[in-house]
Amino acid sequence: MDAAALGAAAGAPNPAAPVGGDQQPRTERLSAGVQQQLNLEGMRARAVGLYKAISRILEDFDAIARANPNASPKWQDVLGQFSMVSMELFNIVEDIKKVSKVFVVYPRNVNAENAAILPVMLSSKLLPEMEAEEATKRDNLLSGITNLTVSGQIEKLKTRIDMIGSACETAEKVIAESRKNYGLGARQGANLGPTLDKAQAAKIQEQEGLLRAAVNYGEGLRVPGDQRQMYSSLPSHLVDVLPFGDGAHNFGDNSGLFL
Amino acid sequence: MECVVQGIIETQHVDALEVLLQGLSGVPKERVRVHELCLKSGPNLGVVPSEVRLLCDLAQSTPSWTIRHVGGAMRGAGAEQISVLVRSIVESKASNNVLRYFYGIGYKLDHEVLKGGFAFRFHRGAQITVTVTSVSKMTKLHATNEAVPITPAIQLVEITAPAAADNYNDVVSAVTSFCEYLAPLLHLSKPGNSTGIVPTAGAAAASLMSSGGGGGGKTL
Repeated sequence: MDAAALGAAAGAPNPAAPVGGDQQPRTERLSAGVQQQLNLEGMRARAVGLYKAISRILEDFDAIARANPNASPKWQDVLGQFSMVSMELFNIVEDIKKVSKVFVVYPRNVNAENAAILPVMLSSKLLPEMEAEEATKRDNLLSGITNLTVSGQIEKLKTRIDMIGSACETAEKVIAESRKNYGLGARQGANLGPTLDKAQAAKIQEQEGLLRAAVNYGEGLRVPGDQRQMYSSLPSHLVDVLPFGDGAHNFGDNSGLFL
Repeated sequence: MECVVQGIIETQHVDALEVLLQGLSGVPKERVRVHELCLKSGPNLGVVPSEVRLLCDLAQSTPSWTIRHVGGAMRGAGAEQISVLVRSIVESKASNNVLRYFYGIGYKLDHEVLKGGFAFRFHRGAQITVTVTSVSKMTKLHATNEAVPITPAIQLVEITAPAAADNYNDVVSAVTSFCEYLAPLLHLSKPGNSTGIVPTAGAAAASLMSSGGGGGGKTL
């Protein structure tokens, strides 16, 4: 009885002390706003308080043993203190889960002594918790189709995946329409922001007009009449189509016909 | 019918646009090199003038020819409100004597242009084609090997999608939605309107090139 209670109490400080130690260097580097939002000081105070409480309990056990080797702590007192310690530890662990989501913890001193225990200390979940979570997710995923054959289950899962995909596509469309309705990323009109100086903007606008006019209406691309027959050699894709004799004759014939 | 929007992009950001289009479309790019000849009808073909474009695709080992007639744009209050141009279009493949034929019946060359660049073709609500080209003019008649870019620092971006009278609303929505994804790099508008460039295109391009370039090296 005494050994079991003592062992449980002795084990308790381990999770608390490293947490306090790990948090301390980080606290000084965070902005005041982040500290307040995550309540790091509060967490640290609670961890230190629990550590001190456990220390006092251990000292009481030592005092009892020194006063009378044959005496033992009263069972009722031991149970009460264990409940207090266990509840506070549970609460701290639960709150740490929220805080630790935004942190990455890495050990700075790895040696032969602590190398073996570090993976256990750094894991965010206990192994049984991970296994239970995985089993729960698998049950949820396969619920309702465990009676089907494997190929039937595969078909069902594919259907679910397709439905999720179409939901994502619908969301994309809604977002695109909202951006259009609220004028985000407007496309009409010249959108010249302050990062472009006026001269640069004017030049680009002129170039755009030039390019669009050429592509859509052929402006700036027409060859004067007197230069129409001055090509030196035809590219390969036109050689067969426009022999020199026929080409010249064709242009001449057209000119004669319409003049 | 077809839905079409146009925009411009600075040549220095074309590589970033290619990375973005590759990611959005998921298909390999196609090389584009088209010699476009615009012919206009003569008086002997009637009172109403008509215009026809002959496109010679030089990207293939054997050049292939296409006849393309661009008709009128859709009009009305509805057409004004959408940001995509909807117009009638007739296109047909042809043999290599198509130019001689049109000269023979009385058409005359009005102008010619050479487009070089790349294109992506994919289906995303509609069959969409995005073309990014440098547009050049010929210093001598038909001399495609001596073409010079009209705007060396700026390239043309065109997005087209075929449509029919009964489904063009859906195609307009698909094209408009896709244009939103390109907003960080360029703005697109109907052919008659100008858009300018995106002031923050440089930052977007840098981000795309860094993630695109690093993508090859990173493995998860």
